[in-house]
Amino acid sequence: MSESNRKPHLKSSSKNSMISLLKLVLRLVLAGIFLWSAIAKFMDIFTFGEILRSYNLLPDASIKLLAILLPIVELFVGIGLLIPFTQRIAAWGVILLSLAFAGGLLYNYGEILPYGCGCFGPNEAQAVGFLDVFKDILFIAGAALLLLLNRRKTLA
Amino acid sequence: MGKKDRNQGKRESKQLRRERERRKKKRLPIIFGSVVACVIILIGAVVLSNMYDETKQEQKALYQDEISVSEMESKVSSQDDFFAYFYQPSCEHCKVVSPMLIPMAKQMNEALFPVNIYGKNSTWEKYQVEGTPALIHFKEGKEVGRLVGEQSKTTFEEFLKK
Repeated sequence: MSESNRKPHLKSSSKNSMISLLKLVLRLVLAGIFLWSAIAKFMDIFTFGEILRSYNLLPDASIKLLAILLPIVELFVGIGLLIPFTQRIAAWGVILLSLAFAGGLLYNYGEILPYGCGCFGPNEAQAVGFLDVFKDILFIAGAALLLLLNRRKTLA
Repeated sequence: MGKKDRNQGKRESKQLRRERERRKKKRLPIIFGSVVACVIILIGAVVLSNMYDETKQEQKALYQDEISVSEMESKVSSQDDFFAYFYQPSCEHCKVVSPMLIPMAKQMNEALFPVNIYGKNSTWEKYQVEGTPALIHFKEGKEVGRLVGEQSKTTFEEFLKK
């Protein structure tokens, strides 16, 4: 094989390994965040219910159900991201959950919530600010990038 | 129909059967995984539901003597001798102090009433509360003592005895 033929091949293989590495990092980071978030909520499930109540978005009857279901979904999303076979559906889970959280935060933007945003369990009372919403946007962007990189692989 | 055609048909049906079995085998881990996930969700939901109810009961029992700010103020104006325990549900120090202080006051037969002052800006200003938890002793219509923050059991005990 001549030198000119070998170079593009090396270039594309290093590009592929970079993409694989990026995908792995994205999956690990997002999985870590969602597993941490789920565990923090499991530790004090009642207070998470109170956090949901403080958002003034949901009817009282649904608080307990959602306080139980949301951390379970987060746990499954976190585990799903770690399994190659389920990473696509888990990435969609990240997008949907983050969209829901961002919606709740935007609804209360500027308001002082008794437990802060409560994204990773209860905190001190704090006003919902740009950083809280931006965090969710970052998760959405990360999951979208993961989906895009997986799509590229499928197309290739 | 010739022998050749019949053999061809048999071969095709055999291949189809094999293909179906292969697909079934491929689906098996998905079905198994889904069943396991459903069982985990069910067990998890039951355990979490119990945890939720237990904590709710504990909180209810702990703050059963809770009074509103206006009720506290009417007690002050009627010159009652009592302790007002200012707390906030989100305050981490209150989560430590409440389970220790409230039963202790009950044991000592002291009149202690929790008052949730979260978001009550006028109460913070009127009683010059700098932080929670804050235990204020009211006697003859005025404040006679105050203890702020997370303190030791003996400090609270001595304050309640005064």
